[in-house]
Amino acid sequence: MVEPRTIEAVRQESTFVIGGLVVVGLLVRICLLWYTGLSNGLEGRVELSTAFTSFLRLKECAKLTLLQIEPYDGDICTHHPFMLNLYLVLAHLVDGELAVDVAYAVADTVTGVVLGLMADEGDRAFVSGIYMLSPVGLIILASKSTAVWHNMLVVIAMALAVHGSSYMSMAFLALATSISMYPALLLPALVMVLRKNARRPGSLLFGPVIEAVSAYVMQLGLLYAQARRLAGEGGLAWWAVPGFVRTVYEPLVLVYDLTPNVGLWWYFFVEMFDDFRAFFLGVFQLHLLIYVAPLCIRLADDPLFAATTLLGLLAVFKPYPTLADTHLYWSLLLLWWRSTIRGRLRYSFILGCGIAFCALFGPAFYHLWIVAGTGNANFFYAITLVWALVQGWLVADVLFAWVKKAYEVEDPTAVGQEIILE
Amino acid sequence: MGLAAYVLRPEGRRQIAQILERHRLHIATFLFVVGLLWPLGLADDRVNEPTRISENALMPGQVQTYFGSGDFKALNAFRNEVRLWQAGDRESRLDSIEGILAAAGIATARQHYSVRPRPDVVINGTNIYGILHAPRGDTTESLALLASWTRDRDGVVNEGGVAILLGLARYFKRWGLWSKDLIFIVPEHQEYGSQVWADAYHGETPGGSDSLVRRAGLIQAAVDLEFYGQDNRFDDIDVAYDGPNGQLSNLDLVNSAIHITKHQVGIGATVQHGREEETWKGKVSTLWKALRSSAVGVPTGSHSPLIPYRVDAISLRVKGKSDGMHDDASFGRVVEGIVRSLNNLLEHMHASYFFYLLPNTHRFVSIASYLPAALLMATGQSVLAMGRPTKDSDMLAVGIVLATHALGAAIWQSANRASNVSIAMAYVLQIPALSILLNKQALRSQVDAYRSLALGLLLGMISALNFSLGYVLAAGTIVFAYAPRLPRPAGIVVMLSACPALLHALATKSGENFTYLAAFDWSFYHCWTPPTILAIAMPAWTLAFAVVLS
Repeated sequence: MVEPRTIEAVRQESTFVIGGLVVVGLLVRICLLWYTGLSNGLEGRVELSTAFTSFLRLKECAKLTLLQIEPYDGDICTHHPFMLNLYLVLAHLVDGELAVDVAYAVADTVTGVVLGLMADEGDRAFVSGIYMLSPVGLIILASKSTAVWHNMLVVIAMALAVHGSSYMSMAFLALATSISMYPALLLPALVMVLRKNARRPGSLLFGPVIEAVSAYVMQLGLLYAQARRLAGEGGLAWWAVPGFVRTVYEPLVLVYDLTPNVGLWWYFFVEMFDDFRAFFLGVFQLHLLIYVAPLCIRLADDPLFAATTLLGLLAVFKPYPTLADTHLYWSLLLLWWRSTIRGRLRYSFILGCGIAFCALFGPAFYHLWIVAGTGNANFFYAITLVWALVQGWLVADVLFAWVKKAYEVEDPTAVGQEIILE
Repeated sequence: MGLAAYVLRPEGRRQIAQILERHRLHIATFLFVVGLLWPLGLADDRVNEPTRISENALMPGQVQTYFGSGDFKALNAFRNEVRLWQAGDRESRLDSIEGILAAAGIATARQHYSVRPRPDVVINGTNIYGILHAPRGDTTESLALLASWTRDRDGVVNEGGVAILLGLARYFKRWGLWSKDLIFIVPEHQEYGSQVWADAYHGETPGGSDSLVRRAGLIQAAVDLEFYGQDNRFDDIDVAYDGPNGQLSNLDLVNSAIHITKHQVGIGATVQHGREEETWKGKVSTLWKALRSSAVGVPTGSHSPLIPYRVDAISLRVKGKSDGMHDDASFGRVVEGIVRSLNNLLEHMHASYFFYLLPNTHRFVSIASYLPAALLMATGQSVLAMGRPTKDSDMLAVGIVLATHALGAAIWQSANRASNVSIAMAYVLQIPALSILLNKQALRSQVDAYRSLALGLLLGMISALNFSLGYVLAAGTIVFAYAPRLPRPAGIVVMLSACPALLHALATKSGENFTYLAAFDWSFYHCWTPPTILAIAMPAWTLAFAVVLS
């Protein structure tokens, strides 16, 4: 019989461990960015950067701004004014890019800490530790993709929702939505989380749902106004569309940047006739929307898990996914690892092999296509398809694990039994 | 319905898994044997296809070639000049070559370089190149003609090649129909000069070589002339088409050259210096020669360094014979025909295959037919990990395998500065350490399984990039599957004789310069074979050896 430890002792110990992980994680990241030349090789890699997360594009936008050229006049600057101004401020704090590197390292470390805080007491060190030391996360950080910031904002929004602070959570979600459009799909799930964890159940004027949604909409409006001011178009009439909306959001909706990435969209739209483009565009975008309601309804008992699963599906079906989206999903899964997922995955070996296969063959076929010129796009796209298959399969398998856990709670005789689907 | 229901039920799946696990060595053996013997079947005409020209613009052999009728005396004179230059000093030779090109009205330039191919040998050289601007073309694309001066391995001078190149330069200058610029290059050393020139032309000048003063747009294709020795008659032309790391020129270029040689000018053609074209034994031997040289992955001629830069390049190799049927002028006509065909190209060659094997000059094997050879053997390795139930402790086995491979990569990184002995020690010392770690039966079989799984995946990836290296490595690592199951002394002997680094050293005859040449091949020739051996094959060997010992 294990002697039960007091909550105080556990909390002290986990704080100590997390503190240590923060220091180690921060140091590793700063060294990785500042001392190794890894960034230079990784910045442009197809798996890590797209038009919307590319650090090279961010630097290009900054250069245009410094040259007094309006960055949102052309098609290059697909970064939101917040991202651009953050970079401009950081790049001028210290000569060279030290401040930028430190900011990236801090953002990633914050993501790791907040992830840990979302977990149960006993799991905190495990979740934070794996996030801090995961090689995939370090590679994504080394590529200085702005997805590091996107992920941080999404994770903070989720953590605040778990904590029950409706206004702050919606503020961060609105910020994440402004910068990259797709976190908007998390709104229903996070509102459900807020409703479950509401801090002052009796004293709200209109109920947690309306409070959260109106906070979100109001925040979006405020952030939009602020972005307009930052982009130098505060003087425009309120109904006029500023340049940055066209440059930042249009490619996400209309998908006219067809640079190859690890997603599924570019290949389709490269070969599509113009007549059918609008139809397929609508179908593909709708496809993302249809997952929201079913997941939120079925997983109403654990809306945070619904949000996570949505993020996993987004990582596969977004127009411009990168490895960072998949990594966010994997990191969030750690929160349910010990309680739900471990031991209940049916296809872990195949999926592990699939991930290893894609990790090896993806860069090889991309090299054959782009560098050697002996392969063609089909080589690389085939691997992308396998990657999508593996990731979608993983989402399905994790859902199975969750459902099995729920079944086991209902019916304890089912623990450890195989489920036979007739 | 019964079988499907059986497979889907857990007991069914468990029983199938048990059968697979019990018989996995048999399945693996079957896959190994089929994969190993697969290339033997590729020589059969029922498996390979006749070659064809896929790019209609090439139209090989459709032009009338006029080289030789008036230029015969000039060719002889150039041959005499080349012989005189060998007796004189280097500077006057370089001046003379430049002088001949300049007299023909071609703008010339030089490129100096200095390489250290062995630790104790420094070689200095100068490449001379001239650019013939197309009178009516835009200078956006070009074709390259090369003829090295000498070979480092035996010092013989490329008399015929240089003479014919200079003769062709004079001849081509008189024509106004060129759509692309023509670049004439005389690298000083076949092995080094062409590599340095190709790298510099495409923007990479590592230390020790100059950058190029003149440029002529993207090179679309290149032809290299090799006619070493003093004889000016020959019997047939050998076409070489391979670049480093098993990358090949487009098959259209090879087929065009062979077509022009055989059917227009009437000279016999060979590939890989094959003697017999029609017998099964001859075809298999040609295939094996191609596999062997592509597996080593270093450039085999002056044409090779250009291929990674998306330039389709071939080398026309001629062995001089005093009683041969053909002479310089015929060789010149062949080159003229090829260059006239290439002149018609509007874009990079893309219509024909980049991945092929040639058993003889008029048949080819496409990738769909030959790739299973390596992939079946790689699958054989992966199959050894099948059927076992996965446990959480598998993570430790995976970690050990990944760490060993990472250690191999780290050893590769330091290959430049280390000696043979320290590299050997780095691998050898891992073996007892690992075998102590793997003392427990469960962990040992897990590590063995994940080692074979990793090796299978990695061999697959290597086969995608360089089929020959994948095939040779897969064949060489077959024994790793069996050594742990033999009695220990036999296993040790087998593992010692199957050491990949040792076999690589024997194959390339690098001897005591193994580490230096490994680093040199990577940094100078951009060859991927040494890192593959040291970071993929050797760690697998280390793990298998540790499993044998523990």
